Order: sequence, then structure tokens, then C-alpha cells
Amino acid sequence: MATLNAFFHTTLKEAERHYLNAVDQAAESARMRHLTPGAGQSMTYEAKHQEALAGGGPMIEAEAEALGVTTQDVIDSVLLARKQWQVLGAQIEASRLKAKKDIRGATTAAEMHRIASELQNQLML
Amino acid sequence: MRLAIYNKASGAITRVVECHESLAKMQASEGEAHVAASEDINDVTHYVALKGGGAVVAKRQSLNTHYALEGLKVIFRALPAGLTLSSQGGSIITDGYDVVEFDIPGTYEIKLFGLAGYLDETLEVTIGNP
Repeated sequence: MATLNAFFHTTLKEAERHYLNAVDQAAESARMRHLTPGAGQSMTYEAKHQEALAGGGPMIEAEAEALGVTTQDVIDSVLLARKQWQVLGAQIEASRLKAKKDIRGATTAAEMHRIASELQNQLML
Repeated sequence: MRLAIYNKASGAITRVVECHESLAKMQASEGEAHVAASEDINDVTHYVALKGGGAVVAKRQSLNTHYALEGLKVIFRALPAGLTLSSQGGSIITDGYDVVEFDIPGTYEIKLFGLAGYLDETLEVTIGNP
């Protein structure tokens, strides 16, 4: 058998960096399927959560008025969304960290690729 | 007359020349020989088959390449031995079971060449999920 190693990276460490980055990107893509991107939106999510914990606030009231629902409906919705996100976010983070640990322990680029691909498939579910 | 000048070892046509019959022998350099060539003969599509001491101009065959993808590997199970296979600046001589392994997904060019009896071929192969 004749084998040609047609590698893009000259060292395994460089390939490792590539796949660690791929894992971070896959995790971020998975998060963004559940969140609206943007720093302002992130602050809004957080402010609404704080208001929901406090039993109300200007953002909660504005949303209730905009949607034609009660303040309590919005509070319940915000707290439920946060709870669901915490579960999902924790799963994504655990998978990301596990994949990065495995990649650091891999001895070939092919193995790193398999780990990163498995993570991507897992996060697509 | 029209002559195909070929490499006596490989049968590869190195050039096609037009000259007077009396000058035919002078066209070939060391390691080369000549054979009469019709208008459709050229170095890309033809070669000289060397059989039983004779030299016959013949068409180069298609490699009819098949390969399998396995992770980051491209596997060729039936290439003729002795081809040069190159990609990403490296090359190997094929032996009939040949593997090209990449380290990241992508679309790559793989070139197959170097056997006079077979047409050169360039494959574009996409592996992984680029």
C-alpha cells in the first residue's frame, strides 16, 4: 500500500488548533439556533430575566402590552425560557469541553476530525 | 514525413516532428527512437506500445478512476502500479492500493500521471464537510 500524507498543516499542534476552533464554532452555531444574536439582545434577555425574578419591570410590562397578555404571562414565559436555555446551554457547553479535551488527547488529525464531526452531528440534533 | 519521437524505456511520445525521410534518424536523442505518425497522433492522446521488439503507436487509455472516501482518506483500490499520484505538493508512486490522507476537510486536486499507456487525469475530490 502506498500512502500520501497530503497535509495542510505541518504539525499536529496546528491541526489541533484548527479542530479546537471548529469545535468552538460548532458550539456557537448550536447556541445561535436558540438565541437571537447581538450584544444588545443579550443584555435585553438578561434585563428581562432580572425583571422577571423581581416580579416585574418596564421591559416585562412593555412586552405584556405589546403582546396583549398579562404581566404574569410574560414573567412565566421569561422564566421558562431561561430554564430551558440553562439546560440546553449546559449540554452544549459540556459537549464542547469534552470534545476539546478529546482533541487534545488525539494522536492523529483523522481522529481530531472524527471528534469534531461527531460533536457537530450531536449538536445538530 | 511526420514522426513521433518517443522514449524507448517508457513509450511516452516526447514530441512530433516533420522532416525529410533522410533526416529521420537524426531526430531522436539518446534513449529515444522514432516511428511514423499520422496527423492525429500527438503526445497527449497517444503513446508508443513496445511489444516484441516492435513499436506501435496506440491510444492512451483512460484510467477509469474509482475511489472511496473514508474519513479524511481517499482510497484507490485499482490504479495501475507505477503511476505518479500527487496532491498538496507531495507525491507517491502507485502500487495498486493507494491512499491519500488529508488532515482537514476540503476540496483537493489529485493528479495522476506518468504512465505512457494511460491518459493523465486530474481529480477534484471533496472530503469531510468543508
